[in-house]
Amino acid sequence: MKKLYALITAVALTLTACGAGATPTTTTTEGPSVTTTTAAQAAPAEPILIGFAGDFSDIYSFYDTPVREGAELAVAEINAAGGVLGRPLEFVARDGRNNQDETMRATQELIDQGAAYLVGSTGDPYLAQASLACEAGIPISTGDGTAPTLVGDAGPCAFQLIMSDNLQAAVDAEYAWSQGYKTAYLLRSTEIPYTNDLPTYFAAAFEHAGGKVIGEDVYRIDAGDYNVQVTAIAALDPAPDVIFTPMFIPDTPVFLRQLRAAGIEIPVLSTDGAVDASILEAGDAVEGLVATTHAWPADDNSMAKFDAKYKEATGAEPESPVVAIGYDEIYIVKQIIEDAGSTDPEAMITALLNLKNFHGVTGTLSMDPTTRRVDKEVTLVKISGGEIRFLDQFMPTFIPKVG
Amino acid sequence: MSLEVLVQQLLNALSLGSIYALLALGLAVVYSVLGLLNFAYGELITINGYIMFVLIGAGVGFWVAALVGIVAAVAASLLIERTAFRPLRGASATTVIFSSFAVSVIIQNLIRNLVSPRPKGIAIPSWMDGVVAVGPFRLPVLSLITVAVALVGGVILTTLLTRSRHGLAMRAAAEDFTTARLMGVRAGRMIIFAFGVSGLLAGIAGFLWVARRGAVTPTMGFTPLLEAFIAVVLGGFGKLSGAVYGGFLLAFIEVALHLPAPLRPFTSALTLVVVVVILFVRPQGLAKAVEGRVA
Repeated sequence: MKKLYALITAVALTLTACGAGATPTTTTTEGPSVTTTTAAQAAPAEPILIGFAGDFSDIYSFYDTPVREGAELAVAEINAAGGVLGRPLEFVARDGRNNQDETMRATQELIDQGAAYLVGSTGDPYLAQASLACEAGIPISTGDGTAPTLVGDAGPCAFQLIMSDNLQAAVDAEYAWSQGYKTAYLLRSTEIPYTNDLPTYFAAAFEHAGGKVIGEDVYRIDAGDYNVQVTAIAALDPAPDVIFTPMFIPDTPVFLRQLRAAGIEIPVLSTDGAVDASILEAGDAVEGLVATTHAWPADDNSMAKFDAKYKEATGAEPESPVVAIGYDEIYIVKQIIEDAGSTDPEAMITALLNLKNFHGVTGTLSMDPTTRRVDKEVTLVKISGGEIRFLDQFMPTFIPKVG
Repeated sequence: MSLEVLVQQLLNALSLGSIYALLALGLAVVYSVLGLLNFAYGELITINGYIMFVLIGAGVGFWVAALVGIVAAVAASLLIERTAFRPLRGASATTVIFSSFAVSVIIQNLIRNLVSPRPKGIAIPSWMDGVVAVGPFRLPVLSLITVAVALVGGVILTTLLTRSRHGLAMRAAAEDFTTARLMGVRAGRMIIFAFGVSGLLAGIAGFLWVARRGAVTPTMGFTPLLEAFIAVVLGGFGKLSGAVYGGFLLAFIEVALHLPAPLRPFTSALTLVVVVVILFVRPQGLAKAVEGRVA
């Protein structure tokens, strides 16, 4: 018990010390010793608040953390260059831990603090969070959420500023057709929209191009074993020309290892969830995998320049291309505030609807005002020689309808 | 469906069942002694995986890392007993279950913050991804290893339980803990022994799980915990043999339900429906039914 008291006392003392440390700083900035005229001249412009109630500690921190890291770099750059409309940006990221209540509370607090714009979480509480934003009339993005149905479900203030799943599936399908693949086999999981809908979009685009889907199977996310599906594929007669699956890591390498171990050499196409450095540990099994993603460094492209800039600023390579998504989003916010000429939410939403040819790190983005999703080129990467390499980048000619 | 495909799928089920059986046995060992489920059980697999990831990253060989990973799972199991279960001896079951949940969340968050929330790949020796062809059948090397390890593990555990004093006491405790204590079995020591065996089984099954996945994630213990839990329920609580039957049966149900194409989207749901139906017919689980028939 004595130990407990000692601990409580120590914590209390530490907290008091922190508080005491903070007080003089506040006094210095607001202290009366500064003359009124100087204070008025030096009074900083009111910052523009951009809020991000994301998931920084639970499963979706995998996406939300890189979005935050990219956003922080963009905010620092913009502020160093004088801010937006003469006002600095203030980026506040709050951890909602993928918990509905905590994310809602954090979102509401950010709105109450006067957030002009909200970056949406990729996590489960997104729709609830977006409904709060829409009630307050504040624009909110889908973060790294690629499901195209998100904006429609969230409400008129929601926007998708990244490639949506129907776009990436269409690029996969056009690539497949260009490779001479005539028949495809789909592997989907019905558990979440991402893994359920992507094969449907792929099938629509592949069949539109002239291809034929000859069968499909279902897998379970994080099942750790796909031998049952592999055995079914091995028994297919005739074998398909290509397998399409939106499986994401760590499932993709599990499936590919078991597929290749069964002696099946059919090429596999996948999507952005599979594009991660950790997949390379699977060695030969993942060689030849082609997948769509947001952007990828090559030669001297914008992503390569961004990676170099990010490394210079932070000392580390960006963990994933998602960092560039957060970075682009803040520059989009800058653009729409400048277009709107103010931080009035309604004017910002109008500016977002009219966003055209925004040149970001991840590509050139134009908003489709009817769907509130951007049209942008999708990048294709291929694993070869133990590396993920840039393969191509294009806008699909046919975009499948969203259900 | 051809006979070949059917046999191949049976082999898949056998391999999967081996892992489930090991996992379920580890969960059941603690339940049989304490009458409580250790919901931090899945994290023993996670700890094994991350220890392997860190050691391999530091240049340690794959097999040494695997061995240290298994030892770490045993150590973690004993530590969980000491910190989350022992101080709550005599508390209500709900309290202890929450305590084990808390351990699970703490371990997951520690990994997210100390390592990474992102999946990390572990390079598995390529020969483990090989295939042995026997006639028209292909036997994945990893599946063969899994079945062999489960068999060896099963034999070691059976020997331990039938030949050693601890084992005898453990079986007695599993049958009836109160009576066993009255007969002189020391409760504290028995519980530690159960957690040790549980950690060992989780460690071995965890290694096989990691070898199959080739990657570690902070929540990787959830699926094995869930499968083990269903297998234990299916097998009958408190019966160690039941956990083994439950593990194999669960794998066979999962694979069988995947065979007819129209059922595939519903495999997970239907698996649980079948489990419910089995429990409806045999509420005590499989073990008693099987043993009853033998008697």
